[in-house]
Amino acid sequence: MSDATFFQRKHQLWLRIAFASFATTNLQIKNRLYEFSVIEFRHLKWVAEMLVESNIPYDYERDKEFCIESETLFGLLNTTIKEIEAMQSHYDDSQLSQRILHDEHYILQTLQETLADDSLDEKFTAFNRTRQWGDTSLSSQELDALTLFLFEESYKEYELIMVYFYSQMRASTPLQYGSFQDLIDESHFHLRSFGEMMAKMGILSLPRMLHPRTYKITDMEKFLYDGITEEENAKEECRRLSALITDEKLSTFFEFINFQESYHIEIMKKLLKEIHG
Amino acid sequence: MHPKNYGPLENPTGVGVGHSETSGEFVIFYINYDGETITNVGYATNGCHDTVVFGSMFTEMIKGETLEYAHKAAQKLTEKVALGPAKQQACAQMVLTSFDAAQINQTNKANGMDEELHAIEIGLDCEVEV
Repeated sequence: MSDATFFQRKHQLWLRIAFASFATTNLQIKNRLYEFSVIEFRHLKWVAEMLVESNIPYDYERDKEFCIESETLFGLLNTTIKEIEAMQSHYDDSQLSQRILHDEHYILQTLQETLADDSLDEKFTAFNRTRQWGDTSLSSQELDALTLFLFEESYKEYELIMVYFYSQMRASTPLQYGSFQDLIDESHFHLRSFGEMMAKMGILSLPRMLHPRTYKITDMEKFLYDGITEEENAKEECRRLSALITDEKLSTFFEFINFQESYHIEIMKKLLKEIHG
Repeated sequence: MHPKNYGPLENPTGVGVGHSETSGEFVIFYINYDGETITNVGYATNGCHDTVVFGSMFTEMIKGETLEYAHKAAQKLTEKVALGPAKQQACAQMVLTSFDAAQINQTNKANGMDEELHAIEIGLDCEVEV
């Protein structure tokens, strides 16, 4: 399992399970799938650590045909099962392999139990492009602004997770490692929130693939300064959306996200301070 | 969102980057020529959705066409975009600059230069309008 192709498969599997959890409306299945996606991301981290230690290059490429859209929940779960099963032969006798294998056996068992109960299947509305916000009536201007925001920011959060993750694997101090972990955790929450909202509007889709220029950081200081600017832009977008959207719950949510971005800036400033000594 | 021609090409004849040093945004453009015809194109960006959409549209316009046609298309698009918001002009400029850079890279390589890609910095910034 110590190769870049395996890393790519795990990367895709994390995305598939996370986005399946965003797509389903069954809360119990949603939460379970999200827990599994967290486990898959943890595997991804351990695999990356092993690859970095062994000086084996890896990237964030995905298969061109990789797609998470499906008519039904069971369709998506069946694809997930096939992907997990296809990876089983790649594991060796190492402790890490055995850990991953056991986790994935449990995931497979749980997914198969779900498939055994026909009443749990669901025709997805997450991909139907209706662009409606539940029963609340938003104006077309509000819907357009929300749609654009969600596409932009879901990509950005995915990008941030993967960029911070790449840097974390190459962190040289505990403060760097911990700060990147904080930023990754925050972006996971934002990606989940925006993914759920996209599913509710019927516009759930995968963020586009990342080019290595995006995540292979050669100048950490510049990267952090750019990151602060980007967070400030994101804050501004949240503020604008919060002011534009009349729905009180949505507006409050964007104010909440806006406030979180402020703390990201503080974490990045802390990292900059460390770099400057 | 399913942008067309998104992602790198295998063995491109030219690779170019249009980037903004200020914002850190970039577009990387891949081309393959066969004589005068652009047989395949690809691009990737860390920019905003306008950039992604513009890249998708422009690559679809020029794929399978002659270089002369591609230049005319780029010129027409520049003129059209000049009528719109500054943000969209910056996004378009980044895409078109990366296309120019890819051609320069191809020429440089044809002249024996060992150049992985050619990068050109753009003057406009594709940032959030406040």
